[in-house]
Amino acid sequence: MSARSYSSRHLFVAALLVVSSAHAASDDEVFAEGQKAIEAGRVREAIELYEGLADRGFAHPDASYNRGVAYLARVRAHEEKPGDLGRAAAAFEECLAKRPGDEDAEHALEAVRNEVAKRLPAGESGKGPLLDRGPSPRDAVAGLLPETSWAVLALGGSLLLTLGLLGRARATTSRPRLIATSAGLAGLVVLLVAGPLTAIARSIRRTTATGVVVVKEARWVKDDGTLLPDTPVPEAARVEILERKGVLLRVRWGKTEGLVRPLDLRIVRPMDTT
Amino acid sequence: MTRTRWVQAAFATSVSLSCVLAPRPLLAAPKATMRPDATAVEVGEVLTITMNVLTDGNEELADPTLAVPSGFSLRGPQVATQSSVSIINGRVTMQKGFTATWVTTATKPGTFSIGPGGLRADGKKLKVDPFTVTIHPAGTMSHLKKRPARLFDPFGGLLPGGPQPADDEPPPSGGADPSPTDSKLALDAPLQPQAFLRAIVDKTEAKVGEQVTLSIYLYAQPRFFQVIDPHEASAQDFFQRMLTAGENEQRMVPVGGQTWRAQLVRRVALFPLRAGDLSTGAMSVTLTGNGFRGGGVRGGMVRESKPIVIHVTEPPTDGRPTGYVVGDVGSWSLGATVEPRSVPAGGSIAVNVLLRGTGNPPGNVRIPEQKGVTWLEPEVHETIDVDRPKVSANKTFTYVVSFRDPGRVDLGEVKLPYWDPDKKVYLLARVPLGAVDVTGKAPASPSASAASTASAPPADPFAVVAPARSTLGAHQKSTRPWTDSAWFWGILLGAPLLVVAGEGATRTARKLRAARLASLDEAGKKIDEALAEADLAAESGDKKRAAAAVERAINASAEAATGVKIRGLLRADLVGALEGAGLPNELAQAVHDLLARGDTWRFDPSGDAGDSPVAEARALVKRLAKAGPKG
Repeated sequence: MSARSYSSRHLFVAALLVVSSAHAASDDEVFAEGQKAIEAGRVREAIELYEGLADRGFAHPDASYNRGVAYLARVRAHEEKPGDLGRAAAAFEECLAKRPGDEDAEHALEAVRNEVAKRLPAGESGKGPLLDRGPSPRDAVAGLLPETSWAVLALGGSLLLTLGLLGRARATTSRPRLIATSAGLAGLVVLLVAGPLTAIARSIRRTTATGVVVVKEARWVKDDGTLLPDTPVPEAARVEILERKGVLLRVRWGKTEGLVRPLDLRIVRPMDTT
Repeated sequence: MTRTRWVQAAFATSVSLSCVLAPRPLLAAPKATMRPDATAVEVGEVLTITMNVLTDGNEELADPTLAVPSGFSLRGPQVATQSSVSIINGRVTMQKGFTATWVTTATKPGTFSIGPGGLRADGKKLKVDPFTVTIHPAGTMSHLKKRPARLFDPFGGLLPGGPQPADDEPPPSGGADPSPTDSKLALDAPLQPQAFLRAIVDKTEAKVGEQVTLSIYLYAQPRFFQVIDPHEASAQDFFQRMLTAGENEQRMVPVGGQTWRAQLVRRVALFPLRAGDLSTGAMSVTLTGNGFRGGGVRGGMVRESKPIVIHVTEPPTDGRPTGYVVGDVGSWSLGATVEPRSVPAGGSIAVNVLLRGTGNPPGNVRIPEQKGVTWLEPEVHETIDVDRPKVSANKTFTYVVSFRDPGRVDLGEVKLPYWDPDKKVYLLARVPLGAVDVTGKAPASPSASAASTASAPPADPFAVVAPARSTLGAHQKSTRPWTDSAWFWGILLGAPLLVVAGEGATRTARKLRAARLASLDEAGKKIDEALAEADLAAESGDKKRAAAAVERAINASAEAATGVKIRGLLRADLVGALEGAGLPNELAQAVHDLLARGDTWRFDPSGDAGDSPVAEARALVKRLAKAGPKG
């Protein structure tokens, strides 16, 4: 048997141990490598690279965005794995958490959720369950603006109220006094609205985390882990994580609260306990 | 046989399970097995039957049942929930189920079919196959044919339920003496009287995915007892593999100056699934026999091991290699075979990747990617060796790899970055795959054939998604929000409150000053009236009246200046009181002197008291007005 025919029939590559110390590229290098991998169609590699970046603690909205694009690339290449759309949604949510108003991330997130919603089984109404039930009414109002915006409004209201009070005290004629009184009243109203909402937004930031479902559906469970028959939380849905209970997480999805398994979620905004 | 040897038999040592004891799986899901702890017993001897049920689905499992023939008593079931986690191909599968244990006793000899067993899965009845046991007449089984000591069973009974012989019954023969006294397991005092479970780990700090070995020993003084109703340590945050190395080994150990017997009843390799302070949980058993009384099953004594907390962290992020998956810990090597090396375009080859090493085997390896080369999901086979203290594994990933484009394709390398817990570094196992010759022409593309069909290709729902970003844009790292700082809330609420408080204070001060000024004006009038009256009286020669008016003017002026009502004071105290109110001594003395002269004028009408004090009084009033509070 010639070497060539041997090699063409049955070449045994048995480099059993080629172990080297692993070289760590910088975060920027990994980011660039990942983007090239997406462009070259090496989506698996791209996902590994961006997940590795996340594992390292590299927090940047563009890295999160590209991670989402990598998962979508796998879906578009018809190599989708269960939970890919959820992981893509989680990545875009992360991007938005770090850079609110990122339009590309918003469009991408909407596209993912639309696709997941299309795939959900229709309910009695003929439509699938609401994918994003949204926050509770209290949190919805507080979430109308970022916390910083509420804080600025509250400070503005306080300033206006202060100036109004000072002006009213100093005014000697009726017209300036009227203007000062109006300004003070307006400031009081703004302060009374924006002040509590700032406090609520701060409380939400410090007592809850945000997660996204990264499995086909997250089932509600009892304390002992037994599955409940309630409507599960669909993939890519955003939930508020209220606390850890043992090995489970207590979450809120819209108005529904319950326990789910932590592996079913990816945390996109951790609780701020600093 | 000595009692010592009988106790040995009661504890039991391992012999391989017979095929009769082999588990009989019921269904693909849920999986149910049922087995007795012996296939041949004597009449009156207790037989323990255990049913294990596990599912990775969503079924609600309940209502285990067991049918026994007539002539058999049956107690139970005792049901304990159980769960396990497995990670295969990167997919985490959680299984839940239960273990149900019955105890039965035969009252007549013969060969009997025990079962079938049954359970409900989501309300649907499922059956478990029966098994056969042989009941011998009492006293006819030789010691050698008595139930063999069972191999340590992770799902079933802790130890074979042995009979409770009378104290004078000779114990069975056979078996080696336990090892001489072992001081490694020694204790200064027993953890609990008579018997106790002791859990020991080989480390209390570990990385995610690193093996922590949990050993549980049953310490007991040489007595007859039976061990029933085991509940495994939950260790919910760990992936568990039962180790058989050293199982059932017995040692004589000194405990509190006495010799106890310690038997290894569980050795488990725990692999932490997450970072944190994770508890191993507690294992519990019930001991029954003479003197073993408590609140457990059949009135037995419950013993529980103490949970141990393991502090688990992730391997460091510094230097973490690309593609490292948290949990890939151990010592690994890779090998691969690729065949064939030549394939026509559109064809496939097989790539076998062999992963070998110690630790819990990783779910995936990093395979290369090239355009035109498709790697299908691998078929995975693994063999885990739990016979040694460290879990080792051989895992084979068999990939089918297809090639679209002709040419010579370098397949690249298969890699596995992992954390070595002994060397405490990241290492990279890798194996090059070599090249493959792809011959012939590329097959027709799917898009071309799709174009010939009537239906249009489905729209890409993600066409609106902008492509991946090539550079890292500006990003302001999050700083501590100012709503967390006290100054923000201080300014927010404090500014208007400060203004309100300031205005209030200002108004109050104004009111007080106005009241003070008003009182000063009133006093000034009185002074002027008194001085005018004094003038008139002096002109008219009415000294008495003039002196009285002067006194009134000076009193009012001094009171307005100092607030001191000098009318009620003795002359001797006058100067001190005025000085105490802030008047200079000279002025206070002038007041005193003038009032004294006024007294003389008033009470000495003969005219020797000197000049009229009215002018002096006017001057003094002016001085007092200057010295008093400013208007």
